[in-house]
Amino acid sequence: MTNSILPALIFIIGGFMIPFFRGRAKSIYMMLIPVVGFINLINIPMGNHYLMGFSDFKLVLLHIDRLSLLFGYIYHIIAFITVIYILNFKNDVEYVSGFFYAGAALGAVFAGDLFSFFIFWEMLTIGSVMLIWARKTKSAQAAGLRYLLVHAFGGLVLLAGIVLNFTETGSLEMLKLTLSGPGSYLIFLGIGINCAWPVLHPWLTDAYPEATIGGTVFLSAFTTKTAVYALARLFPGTEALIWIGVAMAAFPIFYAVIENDLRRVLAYSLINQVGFMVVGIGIGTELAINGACAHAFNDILFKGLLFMSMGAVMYRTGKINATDLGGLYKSMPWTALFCCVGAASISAFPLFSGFVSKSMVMEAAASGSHLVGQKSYVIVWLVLLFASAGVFHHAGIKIPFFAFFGHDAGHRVKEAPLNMLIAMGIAAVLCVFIGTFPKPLYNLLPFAVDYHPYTISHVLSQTELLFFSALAFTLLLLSGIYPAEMRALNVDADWIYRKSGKALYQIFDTVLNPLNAWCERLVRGAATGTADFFKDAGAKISIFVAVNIWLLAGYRDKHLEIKKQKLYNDILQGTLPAGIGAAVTITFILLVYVFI
Amino acid sequence: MKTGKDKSELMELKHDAVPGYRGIFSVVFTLSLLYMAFILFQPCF
Amino acid sequence: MEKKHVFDDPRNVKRLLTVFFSTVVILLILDVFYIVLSKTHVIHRHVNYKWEEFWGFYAFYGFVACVILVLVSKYILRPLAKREEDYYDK
Repeated sequence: MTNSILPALIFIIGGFMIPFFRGRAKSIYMMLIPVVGFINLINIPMGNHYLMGFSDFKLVLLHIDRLSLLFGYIYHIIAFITVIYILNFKNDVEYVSGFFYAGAALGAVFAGDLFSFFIFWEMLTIGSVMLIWARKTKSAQAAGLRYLLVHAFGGLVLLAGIVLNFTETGSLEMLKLTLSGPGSYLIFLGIGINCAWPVLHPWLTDAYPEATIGGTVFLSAFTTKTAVYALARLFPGTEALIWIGVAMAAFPIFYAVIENDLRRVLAYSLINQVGFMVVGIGIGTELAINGACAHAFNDILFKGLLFMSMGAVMYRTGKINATDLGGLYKSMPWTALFCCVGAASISAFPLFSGFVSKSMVMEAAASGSHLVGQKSYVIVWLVLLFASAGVFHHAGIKIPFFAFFGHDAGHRVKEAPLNMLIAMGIAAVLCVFIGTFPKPLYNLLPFAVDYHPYTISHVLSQTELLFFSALAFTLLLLSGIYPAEMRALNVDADWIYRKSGKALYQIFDTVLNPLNAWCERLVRGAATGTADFFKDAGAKISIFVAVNIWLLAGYRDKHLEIKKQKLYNDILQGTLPAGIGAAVTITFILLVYVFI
Repeated sequence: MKTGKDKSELMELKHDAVPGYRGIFSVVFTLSLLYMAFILFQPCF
Repeated sequence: MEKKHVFDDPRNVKRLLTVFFSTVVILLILDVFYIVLSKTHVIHRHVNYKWEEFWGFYAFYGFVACVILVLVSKYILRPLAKREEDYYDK
């Protein structure tokens, strides 16, 4: 046991203390939490700490290796940046849930066993839902509820997988799993829901644009990246991931082109970037895993930066739709500059961070295609190249162009507040620094890196790719073919849920309702029959006994009928003469005594 | 401060064509498409 | 009178476009040099596919990819997916 503290606890407990501070002390305190956390983290030695056991389960709350450490570092960095960004919002709910959320992500990343991983995984959901609800609009409430439902389901799938896996293997360790048996498939799927795999993804594009301005920055960093971490830990080299990742990288860019809400455009490009990481994990070579992790690291920074710049625009203008924005470089030049840095980074321009990480995944796919039986990687490479061009088109050009340049919407606002500018500035400097000097990042990666991004060939080919993507945008725009920005919404895979939900309802309606009705008739028939029988069963039995006695006593015909009727009524109405009642009672008590 | 000018929100933001570019675009795109098809038709290894 | 900004002046927009179009052309010319230098083994070139050795492969791929991306989004995806703004509230 070391004398270090659990990184998650620093954030979670530290976060809950925020409301007790006021004014400047509060700001300083909030910025100190990630700093203290970081100092604590770099002093924890590698290996397992905080071992706990109850009954047969061995829990490891803190597992430090190169993979978890890399995610731990970037989570601290982005938490620090985001905290500076949200200082001016003065919303304790947002602060506390933000730290809770970041803490949960740290807990999940450092969890050494599946059970504690699951606990933190569920806490992630709680934190993120609070960040969505903190917006306090009606649509945010609805989106938050949908988010909660999806992730509660995802959590259950994961839990079921963990339990089944435990019964199969007897192990809770966070080790590489192979897809065999229901347990591993359920874990795979449970992580996939958080990773926003195609068809499972609408929660992301639905909820992220509805969260608070700072909340979206938090959200963009943790949930999907924790899922990427989990895949890298549990399922490296799983071939299915390659094709899932290819789909993730390809389809969202089409939506991003026609989407009007700029934060939703970024949400689509978030899925696109995670697609690159998932492909890397699926390929599973050292280069590919390194590329996936490095890209996750960079994506947290540049996606955070882009969401921050759009948040600043929203904060000042109150608008986020491309139709309502434009020309903001005049009044928010710094924000525009930082946005362009983020855009250049996500598009992987040379000297910007995406350039040094995305290409590792591309190179892994391309060199993998020369191996026997992996010829189909050519398609992977072509689609990723398509997605690289596409991401520049929608995130690299569309976002800055429609917000800061293009048609002037006439907003004359102040530049973003100083704290926001500082936060964006830090992220922008980091993006450029990593892009220019990738060595420090490469030294943090899980495996030793033997990859050089700055070859003439790579720089030239990437520059060509990007400039000609820009050329396509320019020519399409100038020739009037570029699709108009419209205030409208685009249905996504949620269509499948809703339609299949409705179809399912129809099927149940036509199949199950008649069955239900039939069962009801059957049961009701049996029940009423039985009830009818038992309603006067006592009386009938009594009459049967009594009639025999009366027949022996010589009653016949009318007398007998009258006596029967009287007895029947007396028993049903409980109006037997007191004497008979008492006699029956005494007989009953005697019987009880005799037999016991 | 929050909204700048009070403008009614646009329902649609069209991108008007600049005369002459349509032709340039068609030519460049057709040629690129043919060239690309030619390259990808070659064996990749 | 409001301050004039860089792109308020159409001449600046035109300048930017000229610079941009020239860069695009220069890149294609650079590629010619690069192919020559790598064919004569002055520069070592690492390629995974034969495709990459063609002149301007990345340039034309990027251009075609983006145009197709936009055309598919505009003419196929949007008609399929577009709904009224209050579609979900109905």
